[in-house]
Amino acid sequence: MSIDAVPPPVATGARPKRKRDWTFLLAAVVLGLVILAAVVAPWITPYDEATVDFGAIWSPPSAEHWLGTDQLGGDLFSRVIFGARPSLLGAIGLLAFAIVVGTTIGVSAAWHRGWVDALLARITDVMFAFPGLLFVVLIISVFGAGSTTAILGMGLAFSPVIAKYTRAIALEELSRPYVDAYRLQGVGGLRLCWRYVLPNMAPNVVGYLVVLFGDGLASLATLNFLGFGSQPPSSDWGLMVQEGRAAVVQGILGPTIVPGLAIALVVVATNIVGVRLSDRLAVRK
Amino acid sequence: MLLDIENLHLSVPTADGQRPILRGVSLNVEAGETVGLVGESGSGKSTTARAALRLLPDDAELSGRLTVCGHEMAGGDRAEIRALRLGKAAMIFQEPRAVLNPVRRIGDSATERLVHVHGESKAAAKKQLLGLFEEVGLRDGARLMRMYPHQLSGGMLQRVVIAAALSTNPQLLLADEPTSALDVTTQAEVLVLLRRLRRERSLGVLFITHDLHLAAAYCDRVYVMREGIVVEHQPGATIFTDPKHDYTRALVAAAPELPEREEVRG
Amino acid sequence: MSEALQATGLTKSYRTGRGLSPVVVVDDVSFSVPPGGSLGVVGESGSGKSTIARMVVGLLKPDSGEVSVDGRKRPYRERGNAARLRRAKEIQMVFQDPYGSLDRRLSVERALRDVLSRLRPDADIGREVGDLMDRVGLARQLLPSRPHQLSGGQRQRLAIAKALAVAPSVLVLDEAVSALDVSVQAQILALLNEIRHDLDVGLVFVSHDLAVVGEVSDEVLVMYRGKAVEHRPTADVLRRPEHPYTEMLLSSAPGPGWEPERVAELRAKFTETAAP
Repeated sequence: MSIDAVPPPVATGARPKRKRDWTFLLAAVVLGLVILAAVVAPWITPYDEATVDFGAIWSPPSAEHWLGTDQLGGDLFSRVIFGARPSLLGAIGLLAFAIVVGTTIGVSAAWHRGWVDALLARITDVMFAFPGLLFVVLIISVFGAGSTTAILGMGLAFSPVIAKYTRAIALEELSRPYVDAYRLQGVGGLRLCWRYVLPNMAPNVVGYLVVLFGDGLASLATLNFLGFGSQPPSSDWGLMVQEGRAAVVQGILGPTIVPGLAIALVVVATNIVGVRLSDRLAVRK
Repeated sequence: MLLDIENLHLSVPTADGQRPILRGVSLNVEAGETVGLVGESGSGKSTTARAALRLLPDDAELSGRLTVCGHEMAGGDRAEIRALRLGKAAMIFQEPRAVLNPVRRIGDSATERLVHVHGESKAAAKKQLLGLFEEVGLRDGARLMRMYPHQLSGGMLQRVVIAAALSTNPQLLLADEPTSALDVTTQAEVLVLLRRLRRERSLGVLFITHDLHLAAAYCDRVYVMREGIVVEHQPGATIFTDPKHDYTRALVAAAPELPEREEVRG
Repeated sequence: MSEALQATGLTKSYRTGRGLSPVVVVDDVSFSVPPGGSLGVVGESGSGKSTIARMVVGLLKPDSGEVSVDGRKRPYRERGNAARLRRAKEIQMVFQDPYGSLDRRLSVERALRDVLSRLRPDADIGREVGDLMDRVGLARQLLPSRPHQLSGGQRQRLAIAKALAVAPSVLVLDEAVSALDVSVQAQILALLNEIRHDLDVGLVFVSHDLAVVGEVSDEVLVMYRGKAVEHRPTADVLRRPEHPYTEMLLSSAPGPGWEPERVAELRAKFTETAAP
């Protein structure tokens, strides 16, 4: 309906009425609880992280073990809470590394344009071409398995998507006249980007990064599930899912579902929080 | 009377309660005349025109009398409003690139109304449009129809938009700053076009602008709006030389003027 | 005494595509502005006026030509922090978009302190901020306000204050009042006249609006498709234009006894006689 399309209504300067966003609040609370659990795990869990009880292997939920036990008789409820720490920390590490690499590439490309932009675009495209998981497995085959390698490798796999996104946001930001105003004041490129442009970009990028956090957590869990990352006795959720595999054959689903649900919960919550944050904070021209 | 607005009130709900946008606007437009509506940003001039076609947010509250081409719009039902939007009244806006889809050819965009809404065949619509293109001074219409918006200048695009607006033979034309985004020389030419069209088709034109100079020189009558209400109403010929309201006087004083020319070139 | 600004032979063209000749956006334009003087650069879109502004200020590299401020040549790019800071104090610019040209995170006070601390660290910053606010007519209550809380006129005043903070010899204004309401526009023009008289700053005022330029410039440079078609004192240009394009511009401006039909006539005459 193009020719009948009407330009957006003249801004009346009015702030629209805002209804309470229950979904956002719920998701934020859930995330908050998960983070809290990671921090206070040792104080709130009924059992220690590494308990072994050969008499209670893969037992169903009971009064002593609210969610049942795992392959070594450890309490699933306690372990899944303990698992919040390595899972969240791993995702944070992954994201931090990806942000540093990706933002540097993206903002450099946007600032320099020309052949620098073209070169970085080609490099990013090559990285994109590799399926993330395969890429990281390749790195692991070279450097050996382990949680640090997994985190950095997966971080590297996530950096192209951050590079593309930050490049787009940076391009828009750099087209605004205030950037020229700073240039006229003699502010050099690096300082301009770091001190003035990046902070202005932040509201447009934060929401997206929160969503990526959930993605990162799930991807890292996959890696750990495959045995390439965290090793036992870590309570990382991905690892827990793998350890519960054998029980599935015997019809006992608890050991896989409990950590699996934990992962899913965090991914959904970060998606909701991230998207809503984006909507609220993003600045459009 | 093509457009008859009396005591129009409009308010929108905000976080701080109902906010009045129009506070009792009254104006009218007859066939065959160009009526100017002048105001600065926030005066409510654009909102008044949109109200005439009910192009308002759903939660806006409207009261007062608003009659367009004989149809009562303020309380009007959906069918009446649709009918009006389709035919007898048309609106053109400041930025033609904002209303034309950049990935569709001119011919497709401009015939859209006729084809999708009035059910004409594409061929018939295109033929009609070719005629309109000529009427608005666009040469080589067949070639133009195959082009994309970015290939045309602002002035040409605005003529395309005008042609499309005329395709349903409207009686009332609402023009919201139609030349403000154009170069001054192009602006003068588009204004000449609008004047000619108005004469030939006996249209009534509501010409919205922030430029009092322009309204005074171009329009038969001029309304001046400020903060949601009309503060002055005079013929174009006198409003600049003899403004009555303080606000109008302030506008006149602020507008930069060119000095008298010394000799008329032969 | 040297000119505040001297531009000689400014030329810029852009490549358009394979097999097509490059488009000359600015063709050998020269002009000068004395201290406290004011040059208006008028033209429609595609005239090259904004390109000239950006080249003069140093945001765009000319293909050829030179710019000097206070008699000292300004190469397009100079290495080193000291050189950059010195350049910043020679010439500054006020842009068309009042909101876009401000860092939206900074309050009025922080914005002014930011410029002063970097470019005039030895000054009494607190007092300078106050002086600048007074100079541009911004009320002190606005110090903690951020750009989105300011009106268009206030935003431009802040932009002018930031530009004046470095005490430049030349101030370039690129359509700086075009986005403002008429009443606010008049106030800003009056402010600019004050500034050039009080501070002896040379002004280059780029605009599409001849009447506005007439209010604030001693001389006018009329641009058409990259070429300077007229360059004379303002009063002369507006009362007795010599070039047909200037005539056309003048006829386009509405006023008493306006005949817009004449513009089309003039355009036809002009495009016949215009150089290819």
